[in-house]
Amino acid sequence: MLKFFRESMEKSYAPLHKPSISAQASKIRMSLSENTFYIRTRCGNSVDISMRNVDVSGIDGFFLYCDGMCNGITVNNNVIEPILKAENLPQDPKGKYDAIRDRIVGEVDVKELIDLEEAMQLSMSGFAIFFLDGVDRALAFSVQGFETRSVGDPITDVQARGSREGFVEHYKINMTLIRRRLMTPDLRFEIQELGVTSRTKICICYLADRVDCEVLCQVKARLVSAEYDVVLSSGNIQPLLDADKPAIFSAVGVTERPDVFCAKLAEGKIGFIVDGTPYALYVPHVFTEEFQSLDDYATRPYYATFIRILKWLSFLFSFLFPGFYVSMGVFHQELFPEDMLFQILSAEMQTPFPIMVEALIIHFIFEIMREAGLRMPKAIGPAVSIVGALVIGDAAVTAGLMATPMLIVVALTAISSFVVPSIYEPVAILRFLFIIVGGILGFYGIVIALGLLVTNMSSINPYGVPYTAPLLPATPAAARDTILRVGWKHLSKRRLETTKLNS
Amino acid sequence: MMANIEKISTQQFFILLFLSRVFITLTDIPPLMGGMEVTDYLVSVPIYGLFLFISAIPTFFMAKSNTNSNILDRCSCISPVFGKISAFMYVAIFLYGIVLTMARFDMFATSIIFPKTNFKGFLIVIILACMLAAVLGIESIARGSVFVFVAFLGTFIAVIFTVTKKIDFLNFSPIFYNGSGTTIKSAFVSVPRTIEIAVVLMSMQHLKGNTRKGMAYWIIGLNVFQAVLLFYMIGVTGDYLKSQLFPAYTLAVVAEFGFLQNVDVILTSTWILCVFLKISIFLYMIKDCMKVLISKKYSNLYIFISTIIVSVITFCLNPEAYSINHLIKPIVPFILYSICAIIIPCIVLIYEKVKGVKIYES
Repeated sequence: MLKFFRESMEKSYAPLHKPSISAQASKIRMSLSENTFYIRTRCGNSVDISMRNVDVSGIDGFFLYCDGMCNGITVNNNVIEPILKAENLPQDPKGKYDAIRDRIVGEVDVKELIDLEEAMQLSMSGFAIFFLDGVDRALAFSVQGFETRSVGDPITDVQARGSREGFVEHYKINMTLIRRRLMTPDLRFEIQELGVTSRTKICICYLADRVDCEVLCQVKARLVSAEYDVVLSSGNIQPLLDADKPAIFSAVGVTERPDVFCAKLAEGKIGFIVDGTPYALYVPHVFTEEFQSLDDYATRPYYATFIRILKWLSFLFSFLFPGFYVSMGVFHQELFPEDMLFQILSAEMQTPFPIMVEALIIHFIFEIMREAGLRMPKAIGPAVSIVGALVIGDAAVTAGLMATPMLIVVALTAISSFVVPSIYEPVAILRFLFIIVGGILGFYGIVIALGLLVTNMSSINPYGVPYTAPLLPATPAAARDTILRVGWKHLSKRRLETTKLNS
Repeated sequence: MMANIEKISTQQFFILLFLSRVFITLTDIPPLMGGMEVTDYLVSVPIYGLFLFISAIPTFFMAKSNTNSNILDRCSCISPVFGKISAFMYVAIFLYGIVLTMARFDMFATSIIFPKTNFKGFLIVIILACMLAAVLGIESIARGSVFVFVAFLGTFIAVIFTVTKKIDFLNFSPIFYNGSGTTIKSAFVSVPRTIEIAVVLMSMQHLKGNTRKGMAYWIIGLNVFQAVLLFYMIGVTGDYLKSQLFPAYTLAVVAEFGFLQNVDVILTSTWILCVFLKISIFLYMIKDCMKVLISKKYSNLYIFISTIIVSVITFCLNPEAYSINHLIKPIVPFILYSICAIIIPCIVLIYEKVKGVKIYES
């Protein structure tokens, strides 16, 4: 069954149309008209592809570039003008071409091309390509100059005392943000292209002296073997790097912060920057990392430890509490202290729904409101809040449709689930599962589900580092920076690399 | 290929086996033994430990000579037919173990957890959860066991802490008041219930660390736990223990912890996790056996088929089956245990000694 699903997935990711043009067919010809015809045939009448004809001392030539992808002023001032105004050029086309390559255009980087497909590809990346009649080669001038968003505050990964810089969409700016923080020759960037149509650049980052070479080879092999048609965000390649076994939690870390990303690289992890998305990925990723933040290291150890414990409790609370409440209400009323039991009982008796159905309905409504709040325009945000808080919350209780204790449970659960926002998705699903299990099988069902969840999490191990490390298996050396956060003196004694977590 | 074998530390593995065996202790039924004074139960613990240690000697030697391959690999080296016969015996003991566990749990559940309720549905849910865990592998089960161990230990300490003040030392009767025969018999009958020895023999290739040391700690740990539990059970309940179907549960019932009225639900929950681990690891072992018995190709299919078989048996089983089995046929576990934990390892050891075989590749 699983094999069937995997094959179906692979089919769906398979390229829609693989390039059928042979290397020979796409070779740059001597004749300018043949080259023009080829490009026109491949690109059609796409308005952003500009082909500007020029006369270079009596020989025809043309520039191929993509509007908006390159800087128009640079193209004109540093490439076209020097070529057109060049004097003492040899008469033969080959001599002219060599002179242009070697001495005329000195302001920008130049690359020599022999393939039309590569020429078109580079033109779409912001290069200006120069063809000359009678020469079976072309020159690619690096004149990229498209608009990018400036570096700003990370939106989803807010730190009180961390840097205010977040990743942006352009991968080269992101590479700079990383290089600025890790000025070591051991920092390596490698570029791979993924996606037959999109040809998205994936930048693999690592510290050569710390990375596990086996893991590095493994991730590279995964990327090479991937057959994507379009890669538009880092989320597209996340399943590729994730565990092979079906798992609730993802074994790939995501961050929008260059400082966090650099910290992960310093731990021997491998990072991925995907062109076009401000979210970088890293592997191997362990569960305890979800509860760590850079602020932990900016505060006193006792407070950082307190915050960590708070996060762990909130995590447990966020998916277990509603299930426990339902199971206690249905099966194990004896666990409530008497006074509390009477309060809950009197409230629940007013509602028409069984406690489990009531919990499911309220959580479902909460998820609808959360999703609406996430996608809607900011201007109508307060309206949704008012509808949610007043109409659904207050009116439902007043009308006797929902019990107040249940609303309190939902509210506490909702707040808790936002303490560790990076794992909200699995937590939301688990919450529903635990409500159902608790309502049908009681406390005992919940513990079975919990046992299964822990076993499932323990099985995630795509890069030789268990997802549940350093807790399961326990690595005593790592304990000082998991639930606890000891002082810098002890933390800096010995760096714990990711690969050591499997010992 | 050794590279594909999942490796787990001996600590994790023996924690798993500890929890697996602990369930038997927690759902022990003293009335079935009859004729014993309560303090004699406590005396039977070290005797059980001694018997268990003696019966585990072949396993110790197996672990000493080679930990790269499990018992079935070594049996197959003697003869493929012997390997298949051995695999069949191990499948039998693990299936028996699962069915007995389910029957025992069914009886516990229908008399304690959900009396007057059809509990079969919940049993099937447990078996299905175990199937999923078994598919995930021994590594995941062993890691999960550490989490359960922490929960179990926490709950157990909480119970012990709250009932300490209720101990009455007058409840301890003189030992061997009715002779020592029943006590020794009780200890002897407990040994074949420790099917986990067969799990050790089947899992040697998965273990990182000193297996013999781990086993020794495991046996000592089991005995210490049983002794502490029995001490509290006798101290708190006294002769009342003999009339209780599940005295460990009674101990939890009398415990009160903080604002919670009683902690029996919590303790029972951790017991259920022990059942979960026990059946999961047994299903995984069955898969390993079936690979030798039939083919290595359909590893997860074996778990699935075993789950169906166990589910059908559990569904048809009467909750009283456990006690019937225990009273009428104590010989069944004894034979299976003798073959799997003593005779087959002894044959392998003797053959290897005679042939001078030292190293195996699994």
